Amino acid sequence: MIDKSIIEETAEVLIKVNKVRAIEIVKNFINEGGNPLDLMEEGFIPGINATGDLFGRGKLFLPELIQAADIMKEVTDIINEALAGGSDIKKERGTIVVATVQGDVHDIGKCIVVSLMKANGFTVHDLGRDVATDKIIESALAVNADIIGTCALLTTTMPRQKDLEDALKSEGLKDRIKTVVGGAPVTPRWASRIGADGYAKNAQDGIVKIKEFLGIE
Amino acid sequence: MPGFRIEGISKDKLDDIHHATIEVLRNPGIKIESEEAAEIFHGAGSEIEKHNDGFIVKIPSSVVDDCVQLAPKRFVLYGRDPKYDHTVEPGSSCFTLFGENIYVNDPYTLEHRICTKNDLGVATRLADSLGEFAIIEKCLGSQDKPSETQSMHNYEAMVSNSGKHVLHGFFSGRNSEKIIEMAAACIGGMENFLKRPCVTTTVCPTSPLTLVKNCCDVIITCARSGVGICSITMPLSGTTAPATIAGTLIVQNAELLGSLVLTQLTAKNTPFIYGSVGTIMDLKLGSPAVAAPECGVLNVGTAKMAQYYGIPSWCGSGVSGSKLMDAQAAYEFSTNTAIALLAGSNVVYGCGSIESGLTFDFAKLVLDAEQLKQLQWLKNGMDVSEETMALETIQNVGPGGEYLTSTHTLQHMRSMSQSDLFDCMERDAWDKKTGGKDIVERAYEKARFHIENHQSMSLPEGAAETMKRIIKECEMADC
Repeated sequence: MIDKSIIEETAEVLIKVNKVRAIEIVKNFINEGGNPLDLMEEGFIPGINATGDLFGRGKLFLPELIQAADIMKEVTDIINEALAGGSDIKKERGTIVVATVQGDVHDIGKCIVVSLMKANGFTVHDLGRDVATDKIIESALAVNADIIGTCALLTTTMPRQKDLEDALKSEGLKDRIKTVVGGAPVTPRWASRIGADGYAKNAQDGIVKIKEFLGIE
Repeated sequence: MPGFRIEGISKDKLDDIHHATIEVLRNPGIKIESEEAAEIFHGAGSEIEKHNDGFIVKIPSSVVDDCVQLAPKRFVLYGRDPKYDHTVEPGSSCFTLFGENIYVNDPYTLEHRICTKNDLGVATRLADSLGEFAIIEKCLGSQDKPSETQSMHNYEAMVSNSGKHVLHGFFSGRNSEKIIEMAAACIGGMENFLKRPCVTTTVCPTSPLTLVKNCCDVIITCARSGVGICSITMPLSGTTAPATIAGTLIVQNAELLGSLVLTQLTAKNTPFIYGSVGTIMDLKLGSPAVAAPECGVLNVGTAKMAQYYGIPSWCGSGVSGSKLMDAQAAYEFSTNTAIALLAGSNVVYGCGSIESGLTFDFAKLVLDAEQLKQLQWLKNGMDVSEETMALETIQNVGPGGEYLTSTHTLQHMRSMSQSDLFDCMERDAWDKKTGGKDIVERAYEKARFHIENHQSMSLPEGAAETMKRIIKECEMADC
């Protein structure tokens, strides 16, 4: 069992976005002979979940969430290094490829989604904006993605989400990779019409869908 | 009569914003995702360097100054019908509809649904019937039409239902050429169109500091064809622009000056409108706060920077975050529209829209128009002259008299503000006239009456067929 005060402090450093202290906590814990995986599972993962929850309830600002995700990344890197060849803790939560579809240059919403995914401990490959369908599939295969998330802000670019579904179907990848679609004009009806596995009405909802697909509580 | 005005920002602070913008245009410069556009900048003395999928362009202040001088201070937005010609000049203002709605509240069933080309025609006819709108802007998209040619369908729906000048995003270089052909067919041929261009394109820089390929292509094609450019940027403070209004103003100013420079380098003296629909991002929700007070303050900055450069401005102000035409929608529209208008914005945008610009509502358009009448009156301010001071009348009426029957009242009563739907009747009269209905319900009734009874200017012979042929040819080519 890890000391309760350490667990409390890990949550606090994430919520208060104190990166310096977070790194100190991890280094001290490892130096004192603790198992860093325990610190991750009992401290940082509940901490980042609490951070995401506070954001979802309107108690935290998006930049704080992004910085908390950045701290998680640093902490994870330090822990992975300490494990030296042991299990890679990042892989446990799933890999997601995210893109704004071809012809669409609006990606601020997608950036928010990416931040929230990172804050939730997923491995995220953000392909950026105006990304061609074949490039999305190529990247998803290269990183062995569990999920592809696409967004479109323009109604004129929404058909590219259907193109992706069609391409995944024709390449026999639908069973292997789940898809989630989002963006201001995108609706649940559109998602089901094109055959997407999920629809996310906002970033938080996207996380819920992804967790469902990956069987994460 | 000078009217009421918001000054808002002092000359030395506007100088600071301008000089900081010039710094930004030098370092880091702006990103241009079009080789042709980069060449145009380079040919006029801007430094260009290849950058990923585009070019970084560093524009010297002398080029900016020259291009600002080339942009006209005054020009006419021609209607198909000359009675609708609207002159944009310092002190003038007009109002337009919000441009990008993708849903509509059906005017008959009130069902919230995806909008169609037919809806755009109907909404345009309503706007054509309302005198508060001197020009027409696309208020919703033809969602039932293919994405590649949707802007052409949008134009067809609008021009078939209004004789007013049309402000509309052409989408791509190819579509710009085609829409210009369509517009020429609707105004008696290309020769006449070049004399009276009855359409202006909107283009959108992408914050921060980027002009994407379609944006550049539309600017270049339209400027070469004598079509004016309304450049509208949408920085979101805290995400695509700094969290402060002054910083956001600098980012948007760099984007707008970048598009202005490209416009004037392509074709000197092309009409250019300096526009912004910027606001803050709600950093707790992660969604744009379209009607936040910061939007109003930024609008003042937009209008003042445009006045600083001596070019017309366009301010996005009237959109509401509300999902209904309700008290929130009315408050939000009124506050920011009043501020944009009083700041001297030449085009005040955003009427008819709720749900942060996703849904068009017919009652909202009617009620916005009603409120615009009041706001325009407010802007006109107080005239103080021998006639309006009415000293002689006051002396003639004397203590305890009445002004109801004075000649002075007869002469001035028709210039007093009036309203149609807004009510100040005593209760019995109100009950009799309205049956106690809410104003939103009465606004829908008015909208339906105009939709069914308004006759907009018909198209010249053969124009409808020409437009259909042009669209069909493009759709065949796209297949």
